[in-house]
Amino acid sequence: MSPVLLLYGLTTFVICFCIHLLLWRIRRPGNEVLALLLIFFIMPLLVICFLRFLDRVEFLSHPVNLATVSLLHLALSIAYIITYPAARATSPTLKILLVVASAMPNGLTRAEIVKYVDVPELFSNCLKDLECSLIAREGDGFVLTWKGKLAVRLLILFRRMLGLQIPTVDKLFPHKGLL
Amino acid sequence: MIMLILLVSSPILAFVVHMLVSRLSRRFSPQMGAIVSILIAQILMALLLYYFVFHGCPTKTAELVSAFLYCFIVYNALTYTYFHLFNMTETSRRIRTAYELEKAGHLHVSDIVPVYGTTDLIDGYLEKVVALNQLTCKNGRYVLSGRLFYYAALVLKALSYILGFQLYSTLSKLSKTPEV
Repeated sequence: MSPVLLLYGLTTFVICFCIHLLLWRIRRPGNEVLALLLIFFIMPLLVICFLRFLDRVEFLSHPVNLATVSLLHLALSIAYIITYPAARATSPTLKILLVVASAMPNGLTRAEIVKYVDVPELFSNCLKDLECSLIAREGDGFVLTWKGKLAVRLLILFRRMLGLQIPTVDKLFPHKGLL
Repeated sequence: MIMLILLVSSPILAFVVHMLVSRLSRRFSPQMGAIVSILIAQILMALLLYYFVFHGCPTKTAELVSAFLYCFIVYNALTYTYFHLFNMTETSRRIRTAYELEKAGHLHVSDIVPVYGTTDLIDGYLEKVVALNQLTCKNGRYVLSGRLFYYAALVLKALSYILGFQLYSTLSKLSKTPEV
């Protein structure tokens, strides 16, 4: 395999990442998921079509080369997009680790950790995010949207195929249930 | 082309191995089971690639190195995505809340947003990180014992910072002067 193909794939991803970074620093889009899909999937596709139309890049005329570069770009883009929500929302676990790490070598007591990590606020943020996609307000509460129902059913099927149960709320919060 | 087809199927291979590992061995935690499965699938994928693509194929060193790097990056990116999806079903608060909503049909806001104290919730998270060997409690003080999750936290913190999110900025200010 020509090293050029590897370089093309990596460069395409890096360019898309830089555009995403620039856009986010200037003004974060309202629909972030859609914007990410446009930047990492639709935009490269349009560029490839444009280059093919111009017939300027020779390797694009070979379907296998095109597929090789596309697969590398897609694999990296999907891995990045799946990581993005973790960078966007604060994870309580990671926040606790960072707080404790900053106080090493002495560490922190539970009371000191509590002062730094606002878990109820994290839950409110989590609900806000869910409201954008999987759940909707109905009266004084929440219901699942059709997307939410589909996601949960797929999740149950996925875990059943692995022979695993859905982790209960008690496992995440052993002291008190969420409900 | 065979190489691409094999690489595209790598998450399916990891999933099949994961099904076997989770049924045959209960020794591992769910996350560790997924990681072990991905590593086993990586060995299988390397053997498949060697047998179907690289075996008896005379190539220059530069081409061989780039092919190796290509396969390594694509396999790990795709299986990382698989692991992340699996991990979300294991730990994500969003997924968990959606699952509870599916069970109950309709939930009041106060049923979901925790109305109890922060300390109880923190205890749950602390137990989780201690069980994962990332923190240890010594004489009532929590200290770092593992580095894996800590490094992951640093990467996410850096990514969050360069994207312009201010998620951990208050944390940095606070943690500079911890009351130890």
